[in-house]
Amino acid sequence: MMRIALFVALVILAIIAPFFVYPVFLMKVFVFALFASAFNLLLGYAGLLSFGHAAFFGTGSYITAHALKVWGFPFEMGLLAGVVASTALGVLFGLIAVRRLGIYFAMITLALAQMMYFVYLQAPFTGGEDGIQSVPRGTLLGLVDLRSDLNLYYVVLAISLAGIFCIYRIVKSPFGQVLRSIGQNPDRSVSLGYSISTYKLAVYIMSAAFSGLAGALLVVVFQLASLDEVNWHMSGEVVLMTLVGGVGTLLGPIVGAAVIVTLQNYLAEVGQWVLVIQGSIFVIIVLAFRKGIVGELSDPESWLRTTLRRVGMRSPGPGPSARPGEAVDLGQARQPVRSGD
Amino acid sequence: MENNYVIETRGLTKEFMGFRAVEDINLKVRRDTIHAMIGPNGAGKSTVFNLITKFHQPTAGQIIFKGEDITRDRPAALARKGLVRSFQISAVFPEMTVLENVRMARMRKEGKPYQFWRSLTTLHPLNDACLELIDQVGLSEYAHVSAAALPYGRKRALELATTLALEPEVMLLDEPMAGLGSEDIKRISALIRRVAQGRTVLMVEHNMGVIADLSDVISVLQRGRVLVEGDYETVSKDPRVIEAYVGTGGD
Ligand SMILES: Nc1ncnc2c1ncn2[C@@H]1O[C@H](COP(=O)(O)OP(=O)(O)OP(=O)(O)O)[C@@H](O)[C@H]1O
Ligand SMILES: [Mg+2]
Repeated sequence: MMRIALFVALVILAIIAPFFVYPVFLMKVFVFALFASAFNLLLGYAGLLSFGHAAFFGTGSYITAHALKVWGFPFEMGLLAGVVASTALGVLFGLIAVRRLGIYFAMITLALAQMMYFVYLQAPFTGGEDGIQSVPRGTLLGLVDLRSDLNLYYVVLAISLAGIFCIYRIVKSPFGQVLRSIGQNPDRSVSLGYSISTYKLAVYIMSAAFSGLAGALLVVVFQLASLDEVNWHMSGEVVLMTLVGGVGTLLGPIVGAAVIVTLQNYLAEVGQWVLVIQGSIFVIIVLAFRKGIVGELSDPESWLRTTLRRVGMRSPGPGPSARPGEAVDLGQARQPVRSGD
Repeated sequence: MENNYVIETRGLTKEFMGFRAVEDINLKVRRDTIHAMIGPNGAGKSTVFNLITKFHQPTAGQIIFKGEDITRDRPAALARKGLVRSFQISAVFPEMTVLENVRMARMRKEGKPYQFWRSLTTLHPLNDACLELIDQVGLSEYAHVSAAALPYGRKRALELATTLALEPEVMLLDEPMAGLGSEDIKRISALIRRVAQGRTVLMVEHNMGVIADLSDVISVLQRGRVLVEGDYETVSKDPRVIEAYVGTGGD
């Protein structure tokens, strides 16, 4: 299959990449690719738009940071602690949210996530505005020193890919098939005997777990857990990444994460204008790539046709020319910049 | 109790914000019959379906399925007990192929759907049975076409095949012929007649030819109430029924 080949090519590229591009930047891309993939599991297949995924991402970050720094957990156990905590939170929130439909689901997940924001703002262990700083990275299995960015790079790459692979397997399983059916026609799923709330809860928890893993990895990369990860901006960003890349596709969230993280790094120097530029790009993408970059490019012919028609219908002049295939020059993005503002 | 009746409703009533869409319906559906429900638009037929299948919660009344009170059941649980419905507006999974659609029903029946760690190839053993059903509804050549690409009549046929894949004891079909051409109607009629052997079918339909042809018992609904009940002979000659249809300009 074309897509598999593309995926393999990307993996090979990822292995040689840190010799050309700043590894911390790349690790940030991987972490967000995992986060967006976890989010996409929910939106792209079960059709659930969560607007509170920062809660899981942030919980993964804070708990892992605390476990590594204060409890002195080894690297692996630190990650595990973050994942367990975000999974547990996923169970709790899922039980509350999963029966709500459409916009109410988005609203309740947002409300719950805001609650967590205030919890983390107030809780003594999170360090409030300062966050948890200088988190030790530790070693992998007591063997590989992760203070080296290059060593850490391969570990983060492997874990992110493993996470994304698990998500892929879930999507391509009988369970994933049920999720797709629920996303496409929930009433029909019910009438076939599927208790859809149970499936929604299950996938919500899975999504929370992988989001927590992403948050935990971010902490190890930047050695910092902060309110940025639980802020509602973060929930919005993961929605953006997924939509930009292509919801309901395997590569979409990965591409979306790469595009958005790259943009943020490029645009870091223009300060407040980041949001404006990011917003404009989002508008262009919504207009030119309704199904996201990957969604549209998987059928380039039809994309070209509809885009030309749309441009032609609006104005005879030169339309917005988003260059889809243009590779982003990662080499220029030397400054790793934390997301958020 | 009366084991003769598969579905029984007692005083079934549904209000939507003060508006009584369905009022005091006492329906008795006999085992292994085709029971039709007819009536003008807005009479409450689909609402009765929604109540019986528990997609809506009744305001008052009771629903009995095979002697068991199911008034408090959840719709998915009911489907698992063998009471399966179709929808007035065609209900398929648009981004799945015809085969995948039917397999959605089959895999639930075979108890595979929680397996998130297995690959989709675990479902391949189900394909043969599904393809046979697809063949029965005349969709063989479309088996690997996505449901969204089917013409309307074919979607209805697909829906029926999906429902049949559950091998339900009772089927509730909401206007299975709506929007179909006469060829499709003939084929689907024959199919319903065939699959109704050893099954109970409760069916809403506007096409009187189909009703006359298929049904054993007919309940006529008007403004949320049962107006007349009986076989086609009785019902079609009843002046109140003629009045109801002429009066509202229904067909
Ligand atoms: N969810 C709902 N909320 C409010 N009113 C409803 C709802 N569902 C149905 N109704 C109302 O209940 C009445 C009965 O509707 P229903 O769909 O059961 O009619 P029907 O007999 O199936 O008609 P048709 O032949 O057009 O399908 C209508 O007046 C309709 O507007
Ligand atoms: Mg109706």
